[in-house]
Amino acid sequence: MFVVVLTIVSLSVCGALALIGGALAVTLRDPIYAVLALVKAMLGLAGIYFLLGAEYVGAIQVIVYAGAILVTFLFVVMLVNLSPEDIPPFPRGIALYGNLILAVAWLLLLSTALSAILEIPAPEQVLLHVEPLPYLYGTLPPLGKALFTAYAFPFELLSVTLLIGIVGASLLVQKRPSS
Amino acid sequence: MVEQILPLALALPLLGATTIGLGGLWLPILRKQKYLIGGIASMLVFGAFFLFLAAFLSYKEPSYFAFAWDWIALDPLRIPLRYQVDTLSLWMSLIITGIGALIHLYSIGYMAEEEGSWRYFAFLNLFIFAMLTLVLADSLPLLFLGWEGVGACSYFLIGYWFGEEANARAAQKAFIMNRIGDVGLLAGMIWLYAETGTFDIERLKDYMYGGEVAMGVGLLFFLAATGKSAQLPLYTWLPDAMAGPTPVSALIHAATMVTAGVYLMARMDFLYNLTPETLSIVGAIAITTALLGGLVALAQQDIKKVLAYSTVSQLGFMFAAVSAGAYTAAIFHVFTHAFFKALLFLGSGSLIHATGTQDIRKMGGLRKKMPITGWTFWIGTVAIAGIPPLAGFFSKDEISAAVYTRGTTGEATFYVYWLTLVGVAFLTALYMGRLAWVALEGEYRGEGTPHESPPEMTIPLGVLAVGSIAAGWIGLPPLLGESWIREHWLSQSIKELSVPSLSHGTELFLLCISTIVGLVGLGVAWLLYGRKKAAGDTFFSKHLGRFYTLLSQQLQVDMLYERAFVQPYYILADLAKDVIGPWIGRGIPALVAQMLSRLGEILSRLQVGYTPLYLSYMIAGGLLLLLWVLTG
Amino acid sequence: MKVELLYAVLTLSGGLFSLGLLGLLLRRNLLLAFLAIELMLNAANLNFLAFSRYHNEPTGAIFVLFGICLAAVEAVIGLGLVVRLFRAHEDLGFTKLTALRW
Repeated sequence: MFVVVLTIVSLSVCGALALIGGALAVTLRDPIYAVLALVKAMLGLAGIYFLLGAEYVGAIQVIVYAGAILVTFLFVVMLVNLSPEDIPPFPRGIALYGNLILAVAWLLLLSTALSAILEIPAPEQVLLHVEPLPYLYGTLPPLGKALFTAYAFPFELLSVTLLIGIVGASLLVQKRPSS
Repeated sequence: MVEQILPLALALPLLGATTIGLGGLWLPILRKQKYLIGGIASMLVFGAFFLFLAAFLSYKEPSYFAFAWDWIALDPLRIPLRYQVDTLSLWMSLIITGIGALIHLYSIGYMAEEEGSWRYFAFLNLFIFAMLTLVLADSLPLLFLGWEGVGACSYFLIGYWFGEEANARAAQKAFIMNRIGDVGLLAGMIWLYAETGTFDIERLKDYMYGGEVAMGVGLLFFLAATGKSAQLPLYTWLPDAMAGPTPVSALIHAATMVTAGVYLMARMDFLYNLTPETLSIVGAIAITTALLGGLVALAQQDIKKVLAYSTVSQLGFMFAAVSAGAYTAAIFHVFTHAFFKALLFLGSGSLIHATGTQDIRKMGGLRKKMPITGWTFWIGTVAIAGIPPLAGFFSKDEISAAVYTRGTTGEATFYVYWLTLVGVAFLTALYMGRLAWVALEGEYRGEGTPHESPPEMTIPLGVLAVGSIAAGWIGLPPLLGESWIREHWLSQSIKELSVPSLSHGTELFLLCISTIVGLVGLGVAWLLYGRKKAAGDTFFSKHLGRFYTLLSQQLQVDMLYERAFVQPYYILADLAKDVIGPWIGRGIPALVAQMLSRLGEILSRLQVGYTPLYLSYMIAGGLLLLLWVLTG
Repeated sequence: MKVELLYAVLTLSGGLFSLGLLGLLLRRNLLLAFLAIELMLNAANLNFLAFSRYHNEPTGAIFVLFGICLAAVEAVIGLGLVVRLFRAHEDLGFTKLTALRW
């Protein structure tokens, strides 16, 4: 009983963290604050990953997403010297309402899609019950095994993609001698 | 036995064609080894000939040879690469490889001074392969492959000296005229398939045909034959085809390829036996062609043109035999004609080689300067004139007897055909006698001093001369004995139209007529050309007047075709250029382009270069996609 | 006792995605729009993990790993482009970045 309550409470806390972080990230005018709010949302998501039993993915979320990608964002914000005055306000009038309608339509359709998916008969075992998790689900050994056996080829492809990213980025940002 | 020999015999000429062709193409150093190239090509064809000879000697019953894979496999249409050896195809193969080998040997000498002889020999070998495919094919598509293959080789070899525009044009003409006929073959093939659901010749034989199908397909196949075998109205390419090297004329345009039409009709005997009306049409065209060829040949001054029209005329004889339902007589004449016409062409090649001209007015007296060529040419002349006991006599006599016999069954037109054939036989003796006396006897009227050709050219002449004398003895008329080729050989594959046999009296009468006509023809030729030293041409032009001029202009058929077909075609092309092009070809696309351009202008208002708007489009597009997935 | 929380997680994911979508539509600055895209990507990742857990099999988790790697690549290229554009235009507002206008 205690474990159940604890799970629900931590899930609510992490979810709230993620939602608030996300909302702040898309509304704050100061870009540095916005990026930091997104970091907060990422940390909340990482907590949910832990609660879902995907411990390795959660760790990666913290290290790579919060730690590396968003920090790069911060660097860029500072590099281009983006200050709150540079950020235009939200649009008004037709642009605002039209886009809001679009977003709401998306939300509605997505929820319909999800409910349609959920109507497919679920397998026997049910998510998020508070019984002991199956052995080592979401931890490194089964993931590693899958990565290097069934998903070995996509994995290698991904490393090539990363290499392309490195080369592309360094090509993009290098300063050419002005001719 | 036969099925082991056949693939090798087929492979040898193909091997030669690929080795010589690719070798000459990639290793220019090899091109200079002319005797090596010619030797290899000849040896391979000789090899193929001896293999077929072995197959002939051990022949017992029809056999097949099929590749392990199918050529076309689209269920339910399956076309295997299957070859059939029966008496007819084996006989044709022997003619092709036998005559072909001799002509290869001859070519070594004839083409000795040519730079590109590797090209020549590669195509010659390829021709042998294609022709063998044609005659040995078991299904119509494979036959068609060979049919087109020989057409292509003929095109390449007529245009061998493509540096001169006239030669290239002659090659194109031959190719195009043949295409017209090929449409007939293709259409007939497809019709047969639609009717029976099979392309296999053996299975086609067992099918019960309606009269319309038999007649339609028969006429379509005959159209194909008129193209390939130079009959009216498609024969005009053959005289022009003399632009190629003379051995090519001997092999392709006298002995083998042009007889493919005869072969096709003999192969399709089951169709023609059903509809005698088709055969009457064939007969009318054949007789007209034979007469026309004989008349035009009389007025030509170019030695090769004379022989070309003679070939057209002789092919008319063969089709006359077909029209009488006597397919064995036709094939028999193919066989004897292959000997003496190849001999005459090779002899004329030897004369041309020595004198450097094709005009018989610049020859004369060559028998004394070139005894082997001269005497063998005379043998060929006598053989084609139909003087017993040389080859031409027997086959021609068999043809005229067959046509006459059809006349006795109540088809009176065949008496007319027979009478015309007798006339053409007289013409044959006359124009050949003219050719021989003008070119070989009297005084030499050309320049330089002609010498006898080298042995690689004279040996084939000798062999062919022996053949021209003796080839007819395998088909003796019933009066003198038994026709081996008819009774014991070809009857196994060919079913002739059944006709009553003639009485001995009638037969003797026909034999006498044939002999007398040949002798009289030669006699008149001697009177006009031998005794009076080439005065015959003036005699003819004086008494025949404008008709003779027309004959010497080859009846101006080319001009007629030019007016009737080519000019309307040009008018049509101009129409397309001036009317259809600007209005339909350019107008409609321009209209469409203008409309699209307007539409683009309207749509470009949506594209203002403002990124958030693009994002909205993107998300709206994603929304529509999602909607489509959900509702679909 | 069992607690069905798949719905809760999915709702959370949908909410995050909508926030990202709104940000993308309403932010008038390249860098911040990019930030919103990251948020949407994470919402999708959360969905993957939720269903992976639901079906109790690691494929979804692996997909998320790949997704994070691709996000890294995307970020590095995207930020490179941002820097490049800033050098060229001295501004990242959409009102100024109109070089693609016809």
